[in-house]
This record gives sequence, C-alpha cells and structure tokens, in this order.
Amino acid sequence: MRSGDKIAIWLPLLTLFAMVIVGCQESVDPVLETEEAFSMYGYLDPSSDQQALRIFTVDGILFPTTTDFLDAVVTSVNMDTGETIVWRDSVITFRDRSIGHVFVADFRATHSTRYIITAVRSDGREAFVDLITPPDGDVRIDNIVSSRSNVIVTMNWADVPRIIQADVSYFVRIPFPDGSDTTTVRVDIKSGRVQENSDGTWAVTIIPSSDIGAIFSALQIQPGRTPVILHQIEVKAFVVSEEWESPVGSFDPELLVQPGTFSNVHNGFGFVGGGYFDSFIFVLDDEIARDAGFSIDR
Amino acid sequence: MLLVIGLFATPVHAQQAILRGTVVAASDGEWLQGVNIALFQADTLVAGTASGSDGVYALPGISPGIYVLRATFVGYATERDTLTIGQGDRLIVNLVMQETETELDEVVVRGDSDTGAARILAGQTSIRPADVEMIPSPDVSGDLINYLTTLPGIVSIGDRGGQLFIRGGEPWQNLVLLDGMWVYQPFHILGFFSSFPTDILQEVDVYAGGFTSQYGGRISSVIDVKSRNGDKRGFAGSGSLAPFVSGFTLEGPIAVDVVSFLVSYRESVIEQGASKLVQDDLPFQFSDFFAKTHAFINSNTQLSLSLLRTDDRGTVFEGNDLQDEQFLSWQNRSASMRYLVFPRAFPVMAEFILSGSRLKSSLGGLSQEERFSKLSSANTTVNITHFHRNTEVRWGLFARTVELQASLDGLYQGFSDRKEYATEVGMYIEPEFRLAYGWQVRTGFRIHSFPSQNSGFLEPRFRAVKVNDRDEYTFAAGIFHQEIVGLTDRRDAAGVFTAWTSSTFDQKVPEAIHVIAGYRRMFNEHLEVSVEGYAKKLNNLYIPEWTAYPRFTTRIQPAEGRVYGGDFRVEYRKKPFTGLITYGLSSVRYTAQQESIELWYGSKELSFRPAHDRRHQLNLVTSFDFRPFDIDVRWQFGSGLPYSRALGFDGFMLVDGELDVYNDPGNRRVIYQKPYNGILPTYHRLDVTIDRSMTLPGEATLTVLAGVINAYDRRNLFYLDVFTLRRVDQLPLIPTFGLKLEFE
Repeated sequence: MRSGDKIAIWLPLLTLFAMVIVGCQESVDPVLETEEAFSMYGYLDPSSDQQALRIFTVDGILFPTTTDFLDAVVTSVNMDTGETIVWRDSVITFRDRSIGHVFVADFRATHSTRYIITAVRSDGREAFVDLITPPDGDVRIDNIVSSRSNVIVTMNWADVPRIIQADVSYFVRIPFPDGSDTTTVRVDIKSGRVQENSDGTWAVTIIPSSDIGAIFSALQIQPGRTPVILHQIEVKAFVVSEEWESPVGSFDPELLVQPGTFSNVHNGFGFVGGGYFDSFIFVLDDEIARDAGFSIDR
Repeated sequence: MLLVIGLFATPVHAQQAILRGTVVAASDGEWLQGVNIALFQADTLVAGTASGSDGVYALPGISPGIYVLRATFVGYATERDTLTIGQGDRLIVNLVMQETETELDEVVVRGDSDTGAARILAGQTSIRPADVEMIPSPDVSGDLINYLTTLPGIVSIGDRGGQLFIRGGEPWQNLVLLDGMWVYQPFHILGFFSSFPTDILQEVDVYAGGFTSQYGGRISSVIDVKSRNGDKRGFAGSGSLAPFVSGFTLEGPIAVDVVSFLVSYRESVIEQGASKLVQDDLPFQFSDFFAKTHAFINSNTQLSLSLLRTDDRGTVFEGNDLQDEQFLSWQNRSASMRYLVFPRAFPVMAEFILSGSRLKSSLGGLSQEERFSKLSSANTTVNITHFHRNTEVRWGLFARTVELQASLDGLYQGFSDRKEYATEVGMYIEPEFRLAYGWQVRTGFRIHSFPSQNSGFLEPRFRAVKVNDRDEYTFAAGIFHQEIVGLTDRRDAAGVFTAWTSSTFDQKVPEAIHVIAGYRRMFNEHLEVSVEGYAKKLNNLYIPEWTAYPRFTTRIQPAEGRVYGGDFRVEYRKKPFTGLITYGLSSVRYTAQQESIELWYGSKELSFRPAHDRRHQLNLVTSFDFRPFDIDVRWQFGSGLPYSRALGFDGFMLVDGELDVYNDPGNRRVIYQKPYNGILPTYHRLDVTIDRSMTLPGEATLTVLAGVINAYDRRNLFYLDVFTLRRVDQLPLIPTFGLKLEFE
C-alpha cells in the first residue's frame, strides 16, 4: 500500500480516536481554598473611648458586602488585666453606597498594654492579632531656628516606639471683610517632617515660614493686604506601636495591597496596630512669628 | 528628495534591456501570481522568473536580440510572444492568460514568490482561497480565519473573541494589512469569521516571524491580505444564507478591461438563526463591508481604492444578581489608496500607499461604558523595487502617526484616562541575491525611528531559501521593534478587550529577535512534510502591572520574554482526498521585573507562563471531494492555557495615620498565590460540513451546505473572570446549513 493511501485511511481513524480519548469534560476551579478566615484593619487608640476595626471575611467568591451581620464573633483581651470585651458589628453604608462591617467596642485602651483581638467564624475558623499599644509619650520643643523668612521648629517625642505621621494646625486670626472685628480660624497643613533620632527619640520638624504660603492660599487672601495673626500652633503626631512599620518605608497602597506584604494578623490578612494622635500646642514669640511671615497684633 | 534620487538612480547594467509587465487572467482581468515567465532565444532559456504580487514580473539584464517570451501557469493556456529587444530597451509587456483544461508541461521557474500549495517558508505561509475553502465553516463561502487557525503556530482562544496568538506573540503584536491598510482588530467576535471572506481574497501572506524589511512596527507577525480587483470583463456576484452569517458579493467592470469594482457585505444572523437552532442565547452581532475599485490607468500604472468597515458586538457575560450584562464591541474603519507604477524610463516598480485606520472598542454594561479604547492612525508608505540581472533591490519610506485614547474603569474602583500621540518614520532597503548552490538570499536593513520616543533603531533582517527538486531549506532572522502596545486585562482568563497605549516606560521600545530554520520535503507529488523550528527573544515587553486590586489598569511594568517552538505539517493531496495534519509545540515564558516583585515574592524577577502559552496544538483536516459532494472535517485540539488561580477574596485598607474605618470604604481585593499558577481545561472540537454545488440555468451555481459545529458538544471555556467566577463557554453543538447562489 502506498504511503498516501495509508494516510487517507489513518487520518479519519486518528480523528475518531482523538474524539474518544478527549471526549470527557473537564471542570475549572479557579479558586483554591485558604485557611485564612478574616482580614482586619484598624488600631487600638488609647486616646479614644471607643475602638473600631474594619473586618472582611475571606471568601471563595467576590461579591459586594451585604448588610447581613458578618459571621464573626470579635473579642479583645487585655493581657495585663484579663478583661475580655465582645465587640459588636456595625454596618456602615459609605458614600459610594458600598457596605462595610465595622466592629466597635466601647472601652479606652490603655497605653503599653498587650491586647489579643480574635475574630471567630461560626465554623470555628479564626484569625487573631497580638499587639501592644504604644506608651504615652513626652514631648517638648527641642529647638527653634529663627531668622528673617526662615523659622524652623523642632519638637522631640521621647518614650514612643514610632511616629509615622505629623499634622500641623495653625490657628490664626484674620479680620472680617469689613474690618469690624477678627475671627480665629484653623488651617490644617500636612507639613510635619518625622525623623528618628540616634537616641531613639523622635523629632518632628515644622517650618512655619514655609507653611505661611499654604495658609494664605487656604484662606484665599493675598499676602500683605490682609493681616494674618498667628494665635497658636498645634502639632499632632501619630504615635504607633513598634510593629507598625511599612516594609517599603512609605505607605504606598499599590505595594501594600498585595496580601501578606504588610500584615500582623495570624490566620488572616490585614494590619491592626496600636496608635494615637499625641497633640502638642504651643505659641511662637512675636518676633519669631514675624520672621515666619505672620502679622503681629499691636 | 531621496525618493526622486532612488527612482532616477542609474541601473548597474545601463546597456542592457529590461522586460516588465503584469499578468492577468483573460476571464476576469484578475492578476495572477506564480505564473512562470521564461525568455527564450533560439530555444535556449535566457532568463526566467515567476510573477509576484499584483501579477508583476520583471526580467532585467537582457541583451539585444530576438526572443520568445513564454508564460505558463497551471490551468491556463501557454502564452507566447516574439519580441525584438534593442539595447537598453525598457519594455512593458502585459500578459493575458486564457483559462484551459490543458495540463502544464512547460519549463517551471521557481522563486521565493512561487505559490504552490500553501506551505511554510521560513515563517511565511502563502494561502490561496482554495486552501481556505477546504476548512469546515458554518458559512458556505468560507473565511480566512478558519485556515489561519489550522496553522500550527497560531493559537486561537476558540470560537469566540477574535484573538490570534502567533508563535508566542500576543494579538497586539500582529500586523494585519488589507491592501496596505492597517486593520487593528480584524477578527470577528465569533471565531469562525474575520474581516476577510474568501470571496474577496486574492492572496494572503502570513509571516509567523522573521518577516522582511518591508514590514515593521510590530514584533510578532504579519498577515498581509491582498484583495481581488473585481471582474473587469463582466458582472458577477453571489448571495449566501446561513444560520451564522448572510451576505453578498458583487463585482464587475466600470469600464471594460480598465476599471472594476468589488463590493462585499456580510451580516451576522446568529440571533435569528443559530441561536434558535440550539435554543440558546448566542448574543453576537457582527458585520463587515468591503469595497474596492481598481483601474489600469494605462499600461504601466494601476490605481486602487479600498474601504473596510467592520462592526462587532457581543455579550461576554449574561449578567446575574450582582452585575449587569456586559457587552464587548469594536469597530474598524479603514481606507487606502494604492498607486502602482512602472516608470517607462527606469527599471523600477514603485508603489505608493496612503491609508487611514481607526479602531474603537469598548467593554461595559447597560448602564455605563466601563472601558473604552480608541486608536486612529494615518500611514504613508512608498515601496520601490529595482530590477537587476541577478539581484532585486527593494527599498522604501514610511511615516505613520497614531492617536491613542483610553478610558478605563473597573468593577470596584480605579479610573484611568489617557490620550497620547505617537509617530513612526523610517526607511528600509532590501536587496535580494541569487547565490551559488541554489541559495536565494534576501538581506535587509530597516531604519525605524520613533520621534515621539526620541529613539530609533536599525533593524537587520535576513532570509535565505534553497530549493532543490524535493527538498527546501529555509532560514530567517531579524530584529523588530514596536512602539504602540496593547494591554489586556489579566483577571479574565481569556480576556478580549485591549487598551492601546504607547510604550512610555523608561522610553524603551519593545523589541523582538527572531530566528527560524525550516525544512520541507515533497516525498512525491501528493505528500509533503515540513518542519520548522523557531526561537524568539522578547525585550522591553510591557505587561499590565501585577496588582491585587480587582480592576483594569494601564499601569505597565517591564518584562522580558522568550519563545521556543516547532511547527510540523503533513499535507497529502490526491483527488478526491486532501488531508492536513499540523502540530505546533510552543513554550512561552515571561520574566516580569516590577519593582515590587522582590517585596512580594522574595526574588527580583518573576518568571511565568503567560495566558496565551498553549503548549500543544493539533489540527486534523480532511476534505473528500466525492463529486458532486464535498465533505470537510476538522478536529482541533489545544492544551490548556495558563491562568491565575486565587486563594480567595477579601478587602484592603491602607493602614496609615489617615485610616478612618467609619468613612473609608476600602477596596475589594483578590488574594493571589502567584500569577498564572493554574491551567485551564484543554480545548478541542470537531466540525463537519458537506456541500454540493449545482449548475443552474443562466450561468448560475447553487451551493448547498449542511454540517455540524462542535459535533460532540464539547464544553470549551471561552471566558472566565477569576474574580467573580463568571464562566462563559464557547459554542455548543450547532447544526448548520447554508445556501449560496453565484452568477456570472
């Protein structure tokens, strides 16, 4: 038999054979199972009488969160006192109309205290986080550099594990448009520079002579035309627990979104730390305020 | 200026004559490729060639004397002409071939432009309309894509989606040309159909890699489609009805032997036809319209105008309680003007192409257009061919400007708008030599500049072919660059929507290096076997940045890639049987270099199989021509494609000093293990059609077709959203039938 004739016979047979051997149907299973039960986000705040954590369940399918209560029992234990508190589920409808579950507990966390927060599902799977709240820090003005148009104020926080953010609020007095009286307004500026000192303390530096431009801009007034009198400055440092440190140095959501990249939740995902805003209010001398560009109340 | 210098350049053999012209069929005036042209002096063969694209031939370096020009072609009567050629003559002799039943028994001159059976030639496959017609199709007329998907190195995601991956390349890396105009998304949403119905095809060259210097701006492949010019002798046409698509073709002379037109229109009738046959929703609509007019302005100039319009729309997700139905749509609009001239005073052929193209695509729900991408371009190309005795030198210039616009939105968050412009200019030169031992070598250099990127490249290209009686050895290599890149959504395992953007990352333009080596042997007049190996190195690739956010993004990251593979093909043709077995083995691997990879995975690079890495692909095609019946059978198999499996889904909130759990909604998140760590099920399907043609009174022919698509009702996956587990399957078992009425 010639080779071509063989092919003419075998080709249809091959086709039939292939049909038979691969005829069975295959399923696709795009989601692997995971033991992780919850993702938890938030922090215990020793400066607040109410604590709150956002909790997501780890699901096998993506669907919008519903208003049904989450299948979770959340408790916190003060490991120093043994006090156990059961948190309650609070359903939040956000501005984008999405739904979220925020667990809330009415207690004031204490400084330098170890807490274990556990979320348990009805099937017994649980996730927990073990954290220590930061101590109450001690703050003082460390240094003021003042010259014409150059004012730098450095504060020093001692006895705190870490500061990850510092906000500055300037309280200034400006006249009403008709000049009849003045009013005090607050201008919030994120300008505080945070740096760890070699002795373990944390320095927060603000530069009022630079911030004055942002203040004029925020108040929509032109420098030199309307007097802006500095009343006081409030610096709020966000003091956090030791483990609250981004692995990339900054808090870039595109990097930290990867599960497990920045997490201290056992058998789950997310991050729960301890933190509070430590506020420090001070007044600059008239000379220094004038060097920074503010008007002086005569 | 350069163009003028090139056109008027003095030929090397200034004292010798050159003979040029075009070859057309007497029946309809259509040009013929592969016609053997031989010049004899006293029965001695002096020179020979084969007509190429546009039916053009050239015999340079002819000494003065009296010659007999002989043109031979299978199915046509031999054409003879006695010529007296003087010193330095620039003769233009156009040949008209009469169809006949006489078998060819003449001198055969073979060249790189030879078109025998469709075959692999250093990455190049030349396809004839007759090849396309032997592939089972739900339409009577057939479609180019059905043949393309039998080629071993071409991976299709199936019978929906309109995406072709060629030898490891992604769809956006393919250059698809129709009469010189760029067609950006040429394949219809239903995988059986492209913008190229068989009725309009004259010649298709597919370069799966290693393409010549004439082509550029793409790093994977070229599909160069040339349409028929239309009948210049009489009116002809056809109309077809089928459950998937119906349409008509009309052609004829505007001025006999001088100006012709060709019009083709098809529109899907799936919802009215096939959908009812299977009693299932098949929500796909598409249409294509092609029009062309061609004129022989005089004996040495041709002008053609082409127009293409396609519309596709389909539901990729039928919707559920959580989400609306999702529509995918795209529209191509392209037009071109092509002018071909043989200057009488110079031994050259010049081709001028002006074209404009636009692609608009969107993916969204009823309530809003969720993702949107638009690409518009204007192209100018000049191709010059100089004919010398032992060489043929091609060179050309090109300029291209592109406007890109994208507006993307995700399920839960993320919104991105982009509008940008890009330009490409350059030139190429490509001499072809005939060397000792039968080697025919074409070397080329292409200067491809991207002014908008402040970058330019010299792209060397090389092709070599050696043809013996039964054996053919081929080799090709080259370097390629592409500035405009397409981004697809990784969360869909078989994502279709593509957003176009320029490769702005670090001003590096994607680059590919191709190496191809092939061998073909004709064991006898019926049996042909070919094997071809290839390797590609892909540099500066741009792939979507890996993120756990469930959203589409145009944020891109650099990556490298490599492709290895082999194509195997056995073809047997002996009437009444034709059999074709093709097998493609391929391995594609990308190495991503996103900065965050080290943070996430502990290594600086992440190596993975991309979503189009189909390792094995097999096609079995048989055609039995039992007159008056013609039975076509095709079985295709593809191993599973990689996709990313998730561990689960949760939410993400950025825990910094700004965190406010009462007001911050956070974001939904997918918990991936590693990218592309899963394999989708295999794809396979059997299609069978039988047709019969009947001659009717009045020179009309009626063809009746019946068949079954997906004969054993395989549940092949088309679309899987790993976030929502939305699964859409490809076509189920569908009986099909069709009628086609042709008249001349």
